Amino acid sequence: MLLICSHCEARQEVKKSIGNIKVLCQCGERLSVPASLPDCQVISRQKQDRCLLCNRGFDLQTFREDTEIACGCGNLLFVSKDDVSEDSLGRRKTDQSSRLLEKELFGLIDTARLIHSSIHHIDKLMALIVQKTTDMLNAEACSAVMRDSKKKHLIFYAITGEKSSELTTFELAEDEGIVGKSITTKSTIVANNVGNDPQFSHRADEATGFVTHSVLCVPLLVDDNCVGALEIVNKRNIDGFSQHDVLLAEGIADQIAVAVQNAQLAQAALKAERRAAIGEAVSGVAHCLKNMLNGLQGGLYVLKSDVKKATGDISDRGFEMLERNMKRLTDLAQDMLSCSKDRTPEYEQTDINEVVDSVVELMRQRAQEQGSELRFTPDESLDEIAVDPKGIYRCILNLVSNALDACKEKSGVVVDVSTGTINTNEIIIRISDQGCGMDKATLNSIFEPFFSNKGSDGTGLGLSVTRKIVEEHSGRIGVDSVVNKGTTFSIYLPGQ
Amino acid sequence: MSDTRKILLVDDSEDQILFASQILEDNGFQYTIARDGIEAIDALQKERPSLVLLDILMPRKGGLNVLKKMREDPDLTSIPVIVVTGSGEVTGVDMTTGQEKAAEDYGDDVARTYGEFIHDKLEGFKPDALIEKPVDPSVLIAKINELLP
Repeated sequence: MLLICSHCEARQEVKKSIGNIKVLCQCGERLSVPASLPDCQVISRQKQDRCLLCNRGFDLQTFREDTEIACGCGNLLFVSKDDVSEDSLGRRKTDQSSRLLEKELFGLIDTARLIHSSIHHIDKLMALIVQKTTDMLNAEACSAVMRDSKKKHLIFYAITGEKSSELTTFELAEDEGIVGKSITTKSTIVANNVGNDPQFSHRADEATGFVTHSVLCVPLLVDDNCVGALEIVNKRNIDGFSQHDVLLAEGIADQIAVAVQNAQLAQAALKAERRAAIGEAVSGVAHCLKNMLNGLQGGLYVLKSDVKKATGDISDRGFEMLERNMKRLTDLAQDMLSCSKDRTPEYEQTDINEVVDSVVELMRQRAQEQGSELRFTPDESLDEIAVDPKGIYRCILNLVSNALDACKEKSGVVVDVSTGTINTNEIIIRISDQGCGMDKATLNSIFEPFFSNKGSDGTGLGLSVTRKIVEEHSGRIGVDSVVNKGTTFSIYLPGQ
Repeated sequence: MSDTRKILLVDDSEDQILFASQILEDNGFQYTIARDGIEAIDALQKERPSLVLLDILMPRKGGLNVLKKMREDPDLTSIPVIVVTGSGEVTGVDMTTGQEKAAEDYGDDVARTYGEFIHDKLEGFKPDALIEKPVDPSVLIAKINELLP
């Protein structure tokens, strides 16, 4: 609160007190302010700039808004930016106080909500909290200053205020300035006149042209480790930051510390999850590679063995084994790429029946060799649709190949492939077999990468790739299966 | 120079059957072939092989089931088993001890599947030797000679 001498107009800052305030002015005048004033008078530029008790005039250009002034006559005045229309000036002041408290309360609730709403977008979260803090504490600027313990410096992580953009790349030494002191000593620091504070670093002001008057710094403590500080600059009130502001800022800082800790935990969990996923993928690949290398090693061994014993022509079996495993390696590499990359299908107007037919023709011999029948029933009324023909070919090939594998142990069974339309605008490709079927546990895992129940033969990527390609076409894939009766896979693709 | 000791070769991969049978032939061993766990158990009941070369990941009945069955059967328990697998390092089970490896070293699903499996069905059973694919023929023969009297 500012006390204005009624004799020489000198201004002095005084703290409110429960008793009468008695001050001796430099001019020798004895001034006193009663402890409890029933109401305060609101003065404003537009209407009233004089004390109602002593009729003294004030040059309101020289006072900040919302400043409390104790007139030398003992009257308490409140500088308002607006014209005052209320009859009761006291009510105006009380209303303002309760509005301020309300603003602070809602600010705290908002901050808590923000912290619980997201743990992944820490940058956005901090920016919002810092903005809330600036408003709540009625300050000109605010920032979360974070400590980079490796590089031993402080960075301005989230900043508000008119010069905020110029501070984004600014760094302070770990113990530099009032904020550095707050971090290293893990204590709250209030400096209402930084000009008199030897600890204050002018570098930020010099770099940005901002003028700092007052600073409130609160350390951000996570498990007794100080990760940074909340720095609030220039209270919009000549009194500077009060004890009430300190309490409020400490409450917010605690919440920011929780947000930082949550983000750190979430990051650690994500890292562990990624590591596990990579571990799983690498294990799957390693397993496939070992089997294929074994095939290559075996092919070479058989070939050498045959060459040693050969008297005439060398048998093809070693060469065939080498070729087969080279192809499996190529397929594995292709599947891995399809699985890992986000790709956009290369759309072409395509006759789906033609694509299915080419797969059926390719697989017919294999079906005959194992004693299965492969049938195709096309829906001749299908229109051409825009798909990536190579991708869809691969999906159907995977599903027909799986269907034949499932029928290996039975003789004389049928694999039925058909096309059709469903729901008026969807094309369906159905592959049904009468093979071994799958139980529920298997069904739940079939689309997971590297899951295979084909022993050494499968890479475990076929269905995973198939689903990915279908989904890239905005389609979906369905499966029904009964153990020992058979399985039906259905690919649904959007029509025109 | 032929060896009358007979080896049961259990694998679902035609390549591995061709490879291993060629190694056995070249080294004068006799062998019979089983293409999954069910065929393997049939073969074990019909004739007593001197040694089993056993794959782990096979359709129908896997190799760990065969191993468990052998170790529980007093007539079969003394037959040496060499596990030949490409998955020894990736299943979450240390094949030489039969114990589950630390979960964090593996993808969760793989570790869980084999971990549960080993705890439910196989605790305490282990193969006499483990050979990982790709198979080195000289290592395989040395191991067979070591285990056969």
